[in-house]
Amino acid sequence: MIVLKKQTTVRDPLEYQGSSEYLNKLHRKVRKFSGTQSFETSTVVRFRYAAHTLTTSALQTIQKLHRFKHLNENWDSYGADKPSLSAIKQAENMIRQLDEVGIEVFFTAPGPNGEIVVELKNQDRAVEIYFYKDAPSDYILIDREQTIDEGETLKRKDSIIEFIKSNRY
Amino acid sequence: MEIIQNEDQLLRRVPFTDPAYIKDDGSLSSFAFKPKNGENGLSVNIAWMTTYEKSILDKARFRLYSISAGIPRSLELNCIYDPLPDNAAHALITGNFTKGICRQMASMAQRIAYPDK
Repeated sequence: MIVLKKQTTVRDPLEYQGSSEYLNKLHRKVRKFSGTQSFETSTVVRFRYAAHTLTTSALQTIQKLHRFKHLNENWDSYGADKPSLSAIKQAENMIRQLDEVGIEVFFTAPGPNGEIVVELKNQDRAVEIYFYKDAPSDYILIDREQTIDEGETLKRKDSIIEFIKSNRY
Repeated sequence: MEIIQNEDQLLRRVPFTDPAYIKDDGSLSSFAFKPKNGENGLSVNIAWMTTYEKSILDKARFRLYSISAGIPRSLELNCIYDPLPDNAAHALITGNFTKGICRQMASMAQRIAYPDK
């Protein structure tokens, strides 16, 4: 199986001046499967990721997430909202992505407003990633119990992963 | 004179079954000290005005944590006595609950050994 990265439409190789090496490389990869001599114009090449097998830990965390769907209003006795299905789905997607890069989730829970937290931990470092029904996901980075950074998750995902994986930020 | 002194213990009930706000390493989730949006503040009980049994509500689902009133005040929150018709010990912690502040309060709260030892 070819593991490639993105969908692209090859219309005219001349449009990719400077990228002919890329097209040649691509064609070499595809040729043995497609039997073609060269790419025709308007060839559509679809790239797919090889399926990742979730670890046991990720599976168990996702199962836990799904159990949150069964909570009713006021499940915490202080008037908490039901966990948002959208937040749960976003959290699940994040857990799958983290699992693909070898990061295990330390903790997950629903909050009082229907949000979900996914927490990562590595010795003195922690990350809390929050998912909401109607707002972009955000996070805080914690080092020795001090919050050292916060922001929108999507914009800083790579930094978050780097932070939790390394011992230096 | 403040009704709630800094050394008064404030009790907060947390879910401990499924879901649980108590993590595998025994630490407490920040969510334990996060108020619901639109509420006047975070509900707590003033320990000396109540009992663990009344505060825990349901021993099968919750556990109690306590935090001295001085801690939220040191984080620029307020502790306000707010008795309710069915709960004379009720108080509110009010102010700006950032994620960091919720986490700090969770880290400084002490688990009450009730009903377990």
